[in-house]
Amino acid sequence: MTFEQIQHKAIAEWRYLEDNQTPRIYINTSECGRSSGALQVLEQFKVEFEQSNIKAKIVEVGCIGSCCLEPLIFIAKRGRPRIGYSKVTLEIVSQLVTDYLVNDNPRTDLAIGTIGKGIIEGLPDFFELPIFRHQVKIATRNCGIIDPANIDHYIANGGYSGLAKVLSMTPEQVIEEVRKSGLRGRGGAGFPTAAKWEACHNAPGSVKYMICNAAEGDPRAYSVKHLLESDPHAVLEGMLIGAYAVGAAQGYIYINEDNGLAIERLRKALQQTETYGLLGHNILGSGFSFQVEIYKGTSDFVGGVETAMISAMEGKRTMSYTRPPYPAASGLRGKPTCINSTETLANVSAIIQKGAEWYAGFGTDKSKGSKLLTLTGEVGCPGVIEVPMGTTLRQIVYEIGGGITGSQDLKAILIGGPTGGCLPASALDLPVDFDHLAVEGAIMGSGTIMVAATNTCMVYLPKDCLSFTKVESCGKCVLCREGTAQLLAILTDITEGKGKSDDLDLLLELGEGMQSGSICSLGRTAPNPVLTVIKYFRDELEAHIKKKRCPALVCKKYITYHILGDKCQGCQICLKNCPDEAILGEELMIHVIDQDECTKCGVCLEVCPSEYSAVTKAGGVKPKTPDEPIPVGSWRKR
Amino acid sequence: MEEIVLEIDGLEVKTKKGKTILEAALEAGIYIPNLCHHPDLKPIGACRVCVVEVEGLPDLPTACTIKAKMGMVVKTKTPKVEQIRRLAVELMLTVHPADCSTCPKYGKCEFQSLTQYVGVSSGRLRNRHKALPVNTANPLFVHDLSRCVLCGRCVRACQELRGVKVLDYNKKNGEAYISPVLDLPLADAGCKFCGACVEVCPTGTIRDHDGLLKTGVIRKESLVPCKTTCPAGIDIPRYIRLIRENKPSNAAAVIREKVPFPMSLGYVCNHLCENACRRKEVNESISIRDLKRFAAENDDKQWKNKSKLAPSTGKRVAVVGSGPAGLTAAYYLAKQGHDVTVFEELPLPGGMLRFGIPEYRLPTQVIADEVKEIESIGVQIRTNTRVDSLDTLFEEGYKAVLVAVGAHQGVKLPIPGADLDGVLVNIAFLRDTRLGNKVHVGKRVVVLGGGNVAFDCARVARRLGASEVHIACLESREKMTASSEEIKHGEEEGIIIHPSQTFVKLTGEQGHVTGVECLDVESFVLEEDGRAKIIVVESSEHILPADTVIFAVGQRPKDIDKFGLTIGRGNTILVDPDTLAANKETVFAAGDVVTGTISVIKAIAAGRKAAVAIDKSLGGDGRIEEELAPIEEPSAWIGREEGFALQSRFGLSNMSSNKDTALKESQRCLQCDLRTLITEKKFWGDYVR
Repeated sequence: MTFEQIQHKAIAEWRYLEDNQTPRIYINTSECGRSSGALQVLEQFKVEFEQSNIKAKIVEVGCIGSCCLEPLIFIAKRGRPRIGYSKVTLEIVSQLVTDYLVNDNPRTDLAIGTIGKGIIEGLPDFFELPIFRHQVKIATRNCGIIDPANIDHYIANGGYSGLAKVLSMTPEQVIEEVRKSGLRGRGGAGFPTAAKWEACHNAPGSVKYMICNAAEGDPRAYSVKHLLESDPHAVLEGMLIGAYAVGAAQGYIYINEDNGLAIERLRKALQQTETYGLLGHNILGSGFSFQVEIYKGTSDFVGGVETAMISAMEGKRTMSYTRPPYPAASGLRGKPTCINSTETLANVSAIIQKGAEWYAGFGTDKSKGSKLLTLTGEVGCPGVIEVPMGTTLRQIVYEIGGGITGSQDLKAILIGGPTGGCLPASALDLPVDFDHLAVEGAIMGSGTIMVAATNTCMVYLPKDCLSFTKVESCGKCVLCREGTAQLLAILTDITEGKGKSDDLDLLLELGEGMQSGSICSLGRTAPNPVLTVIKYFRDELEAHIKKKRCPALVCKKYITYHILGDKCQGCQICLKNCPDEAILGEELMIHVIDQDECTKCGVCLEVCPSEYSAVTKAGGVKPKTPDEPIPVGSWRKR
Repeated sequence: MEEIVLEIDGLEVKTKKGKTILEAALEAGIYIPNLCHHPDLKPIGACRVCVVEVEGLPDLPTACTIKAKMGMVVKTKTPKVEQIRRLAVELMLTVHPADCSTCPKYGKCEFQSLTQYVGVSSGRLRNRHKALPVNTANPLFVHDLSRCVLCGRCVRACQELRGVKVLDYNKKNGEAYISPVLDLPLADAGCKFCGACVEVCPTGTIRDHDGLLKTGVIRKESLVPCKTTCPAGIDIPRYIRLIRENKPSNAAAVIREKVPFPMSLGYVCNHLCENACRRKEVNESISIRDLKRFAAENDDKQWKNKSKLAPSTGKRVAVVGSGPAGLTAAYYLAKQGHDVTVFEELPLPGGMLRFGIPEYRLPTQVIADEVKEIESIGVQIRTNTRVDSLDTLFEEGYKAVLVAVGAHQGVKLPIPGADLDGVLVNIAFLRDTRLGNKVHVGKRVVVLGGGNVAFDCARVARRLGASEVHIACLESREKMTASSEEIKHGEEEGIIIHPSQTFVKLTGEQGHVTGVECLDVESFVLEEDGRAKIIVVESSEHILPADTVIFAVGQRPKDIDKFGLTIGRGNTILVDPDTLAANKETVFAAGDVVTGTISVIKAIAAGRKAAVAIDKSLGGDGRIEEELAPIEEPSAWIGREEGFALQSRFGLSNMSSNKDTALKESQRCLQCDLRTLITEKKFWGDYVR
């Protein structure tokens, strides 16, 4: 089949689905949807169809990105747009079936917006909602819209037209097109993709490899999973284009072995592309051949470092090694190897499909296009988002993320994962792109934006990062292995009242030494959280070291728990829950914490009924409380 | 090779293309501090100590991983470089014991030397050192992980240099450390005990077990104890390797480089090498002697083409005695171009090889073949020729004389009844048997003595028809000097051993021996004057009945007063220990006549030594060393082999000429000599700058 024939057939399929008399239910059955109950919702629909004797088609789609909306479904009837319903319960399912499918009432009271042609009175365009308004859909163009297990859906939406296009170009022309787009590697460091391809293309040798870096070692990052579960073909097409440009006949996808659903969907995608002649020998009769194998790696953080990935794929330990030689010259098994991240490749297919100029229209001067970010922490609507480069942190946190949860304020934003930088609230107007982040001491890294509220201790936060990187350090290079351990030891001391006056200087010296002297990016970026905290939150560190105080009231060493005499109702809830039996009192007697027994676990604070709010944490200034239990109501502050 | 010129610290340095900056600097005598680097291993840049600044390169690259390029400008001592270097060393110190003085590697430790050079001490950073227990459970090697700085040299040596892949990085509770795979005992992990890890460890982490290496010798020699222990210095690891490589003939040539009796030794050598073999620490030593025999049996004599035979010097040398010492000396002297005549009193040559060792242990044909080989290069052997005066020899024109008459006088204990009929003496008994003379033994034979000769006598008596053979000796069972295999074979043949006995008298009737009266010995020690101090068990008198008693309590040189040389203890000839020269001009002595009865291999070694001294005394250079097999650099890669440590010893009974068995046995060798080929790293004091 020619590509036109393939495309024709796919479009026909897609139209048949979209224009059919039968209503369609689109459900996100990616892992994020499943964890919110998407599969139960799906089953409920089937049950309801059966009971109401209705014919409707369920289409399993990928994730649209917003965790706060899950389970999210769309219902489409002929001639009308898809109507989105969020946080769908089984009860809502049965209402929707009866009301919309049977009685044609779209229940706009339950809906949040529409996708596609047509207007439903009272409902906004889904992508014009505040959480989507600032987003663009380039790499994630099909996520949540198409069935990722159906190649026709991808092709009908422009898929593989990029591949078809490059097959009539020279590799040099393809590289030039990518250069014009300004695409920089999305894996974290932002190295120009075209330069990497060119180096690999120019490297001597007939055997070359193309690797898709789908390792995702930051436990808070989800963008790789998101892309591969929701639109694997977008990544595969990017890989094919890259392989054609660099001259590789063999490709690998290095993916965390625990990414089961993504692997399953990739497998299926590989089978389908092969069946369609878009992968394998003599692709679309062009003479270009390309095979892809899935390599399941461990979920080690260091696995995302190119050289460590190559070591792992060669059967060695997952340990990075010094460059040069760079993989583009001598990588896997000593052959020129091009390694691009999943996100980079999903962008590549879009760039070739729609053109470099279109792509370069997004983003900032030196960071073109868009970026996937995993928004997490104390925000109202976390999830995987895609924003144009240059979008400000304020837009990301307050509009897309819906602001800070609870009654707290923003304190810091950890950008780039456990090796990223902690920026203060004053950095909210910083445009997010490679260069602006670097200036402030943060990195794009794993693309996570972790929002920390005022109850976060700024010694505890970098300590948390370092306890992760210390364990994840492959152990080869001294500066990373011992540097992370040393940073962690010093930070731990600071949280435990053992900080020394010259510790900040020591942290700086170690951090800067690691940045310039470590073998790989793990060691080079691991001190970022510490260095940025010293830069932006020095007072808080000094409070720990000099005043022996934790302003956020987090470090146990510096806090005490108290039961307020005027608020305690003697209900015994805290007393019964205290694991250390450190609370004295009886019914209708004001409870008192025995400070010698208290281990500061905080359970009393958690369980005290909110209408009483009698338990409080204190730092330097302790509230006056009774010395021993006295009857409720008898406490008078003197 | 393309030459590269670069600048290091303002100095012009020349090197070859492909060399790293570090190699270029070190070769030019410029010291760049380094630790994880080892000249025999692939660089990994892990310790970060060799960081340098290179014009045009970002950050601080490691000198060990960057190839030198034409015109490169390198600075090794800038403040930035020194800061990272100090930091790296300080960080390693945080996990290393602060006190070096208790470390076995003290003074030889690269890390200690490095910290001194960089001038850092612990204290500024948080101490993270953990005192871990020293693992002494593995054979040969000690793992003292609390001293490890994770330079990874052992891992690379094990994985990349040797291909054994036992040691690797590991991680527990978030801490990286180095261990055998899965933390298994070394043997279970597939260790081949080559010792490369010990050799490359810069600290005291991986060490040889305390007291395992012989002290007082050159270290490299102590690492290959089989070769060092062999009196003749045969290159044992080399010939075992050749057997493994299926070149038994080359193996035979290697043995030939040191001894002219490979096959005889293959039968009867007392193999001190096997007792020293490091493999016995793992399970059982290598059957080195049997492998020697296998090599000799598969000798295609190609070595003869390489064997040197110097042009005639016209000088005549007389060798008195045709035992292993005399014939060895004769052989090497003939090769040096001398005209050698060997005088032998007995009707056949071979000395103790032929007349002291029974046929079943060393077949006559083996001796005959090896003697023929010696004769073939021109050595003349005059049998049935007794030499009574050295002066006569000089008068006949001999320029030098070697006395190597052995120790052929059997000794009887001075106890009553020793002269009764039916009382025989070891050497005469064995010699008469070997000569084919009629030798009569009774039904019940008691041999007195606990050495190999006693067993020879006992086993010969058995073969001559004795229905019951006993051995009684002074030593306790554990202290018997006979080799364990002799004892084993003896017992298999039904010989009954009575250890810890002292002999009071021989009983007799009508002039014929009837038994040995013995006392049980509680303990005995040899006093300084060589006498035994014996404590007996009271009232333990008993009689071992016998109709033949054979004394096997030692031999002495016989009838040597006639040579007019100075005689020492035990009726031996006194010689200069270095040259074996006796106290008469150009007279030398070697073998049992000097040492008393010892061993074939020591006699051969003495024969070589005598040959060197005699050749020199005759104006030669004394160089008898030769290279009979091609010298091949052994492969450092030894690879994995499942179950290596468990493979038990294959002995002669199942080897003989069986190639497969010999191959298997040779594959058990630990190849300790490979360790000596690992480059020794220099310390900073060894560099000019």
